[in-house]
Amino acid sequence: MNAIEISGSKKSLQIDFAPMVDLGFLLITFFVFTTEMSRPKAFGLNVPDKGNGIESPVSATITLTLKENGVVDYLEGNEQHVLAKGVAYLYGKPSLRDELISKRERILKQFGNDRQYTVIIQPTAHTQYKEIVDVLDEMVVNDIKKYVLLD
Amino acid sequence: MSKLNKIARKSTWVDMTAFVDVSFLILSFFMLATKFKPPEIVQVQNPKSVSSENQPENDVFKVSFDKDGKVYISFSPDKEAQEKAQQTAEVLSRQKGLNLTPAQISAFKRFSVGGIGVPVEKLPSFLNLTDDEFKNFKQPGIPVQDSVNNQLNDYINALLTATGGRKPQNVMLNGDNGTKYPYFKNVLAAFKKNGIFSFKLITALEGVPEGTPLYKTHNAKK
Repeated sequence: MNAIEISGSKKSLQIDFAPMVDLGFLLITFFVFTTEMSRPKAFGLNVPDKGNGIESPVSATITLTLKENGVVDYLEGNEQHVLAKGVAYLYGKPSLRDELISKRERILKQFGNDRQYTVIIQPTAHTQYKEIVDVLDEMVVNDIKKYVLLD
Repeated sequence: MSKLNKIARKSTWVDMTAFVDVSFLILSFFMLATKFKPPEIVQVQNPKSVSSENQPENDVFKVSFDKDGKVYISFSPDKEAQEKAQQTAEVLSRQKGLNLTPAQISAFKRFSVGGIGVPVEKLPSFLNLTDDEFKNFKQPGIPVQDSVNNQLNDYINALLTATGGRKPQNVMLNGDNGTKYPYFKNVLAAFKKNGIFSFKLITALEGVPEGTPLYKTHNAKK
């Protein structure tokens, strides 16, 4: 009696879990391929209506012309009063970010605050969407309150 | 010999219970932490931004443009947006004299979740496709190339007429990294013409670069 019980119960305890592992990993691979981890994010953009222009002092304005492949021509001031101009790069050195930061410092020195800091973004026919979003992102990163996307 | 056999048999038995535990733990993680991918009719690679605002899911009107400049419109699958899709199809049918049948209008609703990118005049034949044909159909994109024949304008105009001039709550722009600016400009022009000036661009999350003003304010909050 005793001997039979022991041998019987011993056998039933041993379950082969290998198929269950197979199944588990099969389901994992299914979920890995059909689902996505990070949801896309939303980046707010407001474009100006026709007619309501912005007023800002010439010395606090910088115009960025987006060329191809992240090359940006910058022009401080305006066409009539060019304070400085040069080339900066979105994805290289000298970077556009450094230029925007140094411009802010100059504005802070002149005005005492950066409320008038205005960036005008001028894309060209060869500009890619990625560069436009990256430049707009640069505005957010550098905490620039006034910027406008021209067309 | 018999002794050897015994030893060999014993060593092949591995206890898989812990393995099962681990695999199901990972499985439950993936089930809870992820979401199913939405159907992809439009293939786009979104640019990155530091914005961490989540994309709205309900009542979305989305305009997508891929790297070849093909433009598509889509509505989210919730009830409110689907109602707007239906009304848009009805108004478009009336404005452009398309004479869409109820079956075609319901096809418009179904296809609008994935994306509709055909010129207005091709809409009736496009809406006759079955669901399977739709998935494999290569849509030419809504023409936006010039301001004279910017048909996105027609679609948006129909949407606004259908909702009685009320602007859609969430206007999303879903652009590809490689889209050239003129296409983006024409998409914006169509919206501006209809008095919509506020959008949300769909982007992927990116870390805030160190040493920038935004990075400092983020750290100050912590």
